[in-house]
Order: sequence, then structure tokens, then C-alpha cells
Amino acid sequence: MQKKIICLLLLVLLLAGTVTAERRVFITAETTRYLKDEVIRFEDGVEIRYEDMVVTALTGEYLGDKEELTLKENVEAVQGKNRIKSPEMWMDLEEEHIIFRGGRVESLFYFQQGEEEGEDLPVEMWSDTLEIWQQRGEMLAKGNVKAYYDDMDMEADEVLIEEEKDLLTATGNVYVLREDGSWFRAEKVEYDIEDGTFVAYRMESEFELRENP
Amino acid sequence: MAILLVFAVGGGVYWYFQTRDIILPIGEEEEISFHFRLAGNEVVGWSRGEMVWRIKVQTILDPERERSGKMGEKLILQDIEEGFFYREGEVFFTFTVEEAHYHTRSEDLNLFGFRMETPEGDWMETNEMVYTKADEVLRSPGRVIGRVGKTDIEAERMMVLLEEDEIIFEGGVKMIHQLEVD
Repeated sequence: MQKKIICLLLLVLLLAGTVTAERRVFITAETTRYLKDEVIRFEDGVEIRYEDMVVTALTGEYLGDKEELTLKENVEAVQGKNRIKSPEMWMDLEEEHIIFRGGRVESLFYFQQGEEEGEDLPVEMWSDTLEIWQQRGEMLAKGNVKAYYDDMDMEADEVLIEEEKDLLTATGNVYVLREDGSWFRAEKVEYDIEDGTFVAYRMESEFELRENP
Repeated sequence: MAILLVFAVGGGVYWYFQTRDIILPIGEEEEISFHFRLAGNEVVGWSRGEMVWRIKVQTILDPERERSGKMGEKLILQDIEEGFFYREGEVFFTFTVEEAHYHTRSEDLNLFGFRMETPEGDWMETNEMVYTKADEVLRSPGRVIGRVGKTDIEAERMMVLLEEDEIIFEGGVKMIHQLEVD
């Protein structure tokens, strides 16, 4: 079964990226200020569109010399069914590094299962910060992470998703509760997204033994 | 007949300013002894001893002088070749304009059919741009279109704060940024 992480990484193509298909970014704002030293400030509502992706916020600031973009207040990034909500989003366009921060970050994205659309399984996740490295294909959720996926609820200090390896690694006070009531705690859990198997380190678990029929 | 009359008046005014070395003190005395002068075919605006704008013009009309013989509150500048706005002694941007009205009391400037260009190649167009000396701000009361870097811009209004070196676009600002392509 082919599984693939779909997420909002294309965001980094804004303003500085290189692409071959659609080549324009649409930005609307009520007020835009071009300040000294290549600083552009967006006020009273800003919307950035690129292909099928839309990012909205109340304010924004682009620092041309550092190639950094910061969006603030009610930041919402949407691409198809995927969405991330956050009080603030910071982006280093040169390094293709994004951080959602400033409060609870709410994410909804999909692990694609099979070729057919509709077979995707949603992953809901809450964290204090969410970092995305486009070039490395990595996403790191930090601070009181809670995630709901398939038949399990997960809590951890950090969750790292590595797209190349199809690997989800939860570390620090990991707690996993499954739909059948079984649970386990561990210091570290590696979840293979491809085949759905766990490797847990320093694990404590409780589950019900069933008799063979 | 009317056309001949306009040419005659325009030519007369042009000859008048071309052949006399005129210095017109306007407003209250500041550090320098004048705020506005006619020099050759250039009109120059000053503020606090620094040149703020300069317009190369062929025709300067003073409708009130034609009526009363005294200098009027509004001069009409026509056949403008080129204009410049300065900041800290350097050209901030150049502009072309169809017609300009210079208000001799307030030292404000109305620029009609305005197009500005920066040395970097950025440009902006609007029907009217108003420079007010009191706050050193250029305002477009109407829609403005232009290009800054690789970004096309459209807005309902624009302000250029000359002192702060800041440009503000207001009202439904739309920007289309062109990405670099491999």
C-alpha cells in the first residue's frame, strides 16, 4: 500500500522559490507599506495565494534583506483539505524553513493511502510549535503534542515526521491510546507510516489478552 | 481664433519668464531667501533649505496675473519635459506629467497624468498626485497602478512619505509577484 504524507510544504515557494508551472503569487491586503531597507508591511488583513494554496492573516511583514516573512494573528494556511492554524507564522525563504508558533498550532493533514482520493486518513495534531523544513522534507511538532490518527490518540513532547523515510518519531512522555482500550507509554516511539508498525523504547503497556477461538 | 489666442498668451508668458531673471520670494522667510524660483525653464520647490522637487517646463501660465496684473495664487505648468523629486540631495524618483498646478501660497503641487519612475526601474501611474509641502507627503486620491521589483501593484490610493522614505498603498491592495523560473 502506497502511503504518502501530504502537507503544506509548498508554502516556501512564495516570493523566492523556483518553479516551472504556475509562476505567480497573488497577494491582497487592505494596506501595504514599503518601508526602508526592503521591508514590506501588510496590514488590516492579508491573503497570499499560490496555486491551490491560500494563506491568510491579519498582518504580515517581509524583510527583503533577510528573506524572511512573518504573518501574525489568525494565521491559516490551506491547501486542498490540509490546513494549519496558528497565531503566527515565520518563514525563512532562503533556507525554506517555516515555523508556526505564538500559541497552540492546530494542524490537519492527510496520510495518503492508495491511489484513490478519499482513501486518505486524516491526522489531526495540536502542538506549541510546528516547524517545516522543505528541503529535508521534515516536519517537527514541539510542546504538548497531541495527535489523532486512524485508531489511535497520541501524546508526546515532540513528534517528528520524515517524509523520505515514511517515519513518525514521537519522543518524550509518549502515550498512545488505541480504540480497543489498549495503551502504552514510552520514552520514544517510532511509527513506520508505510507498514503501520511501532517500535517503542522503554515501554510500559496495558492491553487485554484474548483467548483463541 | 481661440487656439491662436492660447498660443499668443502662452508664448507671451514664456517669453516673459525666459527673458527676465526672476526670483519670487514666497511664504515666510526661512533659512534661505527663497522657496520658489523660476530659473531658465525649470521650476524648483524647496523645503528647509533643500531641493524637494524640480520640473523642466516649457510653458508657465499665471491666469490671475493676466486678469489683475499681480502674481496669482496658482501657476499652471504645461509642456513639461521631466520632473524630479529629491531626498537628501539625491534623485528619489523622476516623473512625467501632463500638467502641474503650483500653489504659490501653500507651495503645494498638483500633478495631473502622473507617472513616476525610480532609478531602480520601479514605476507608478495615477491620474492625479498631490504634493503638500506642510507634511512633505505625496498623495494620489485615486487608483494607482505600478510595478515594484517583480511585483505588479494596484491600489485605490497611494501615499509617498518623502521624509520617511516610505510608500503606502491603501484600499484593496492587489499584488502579483512574479516568481523566478528554472
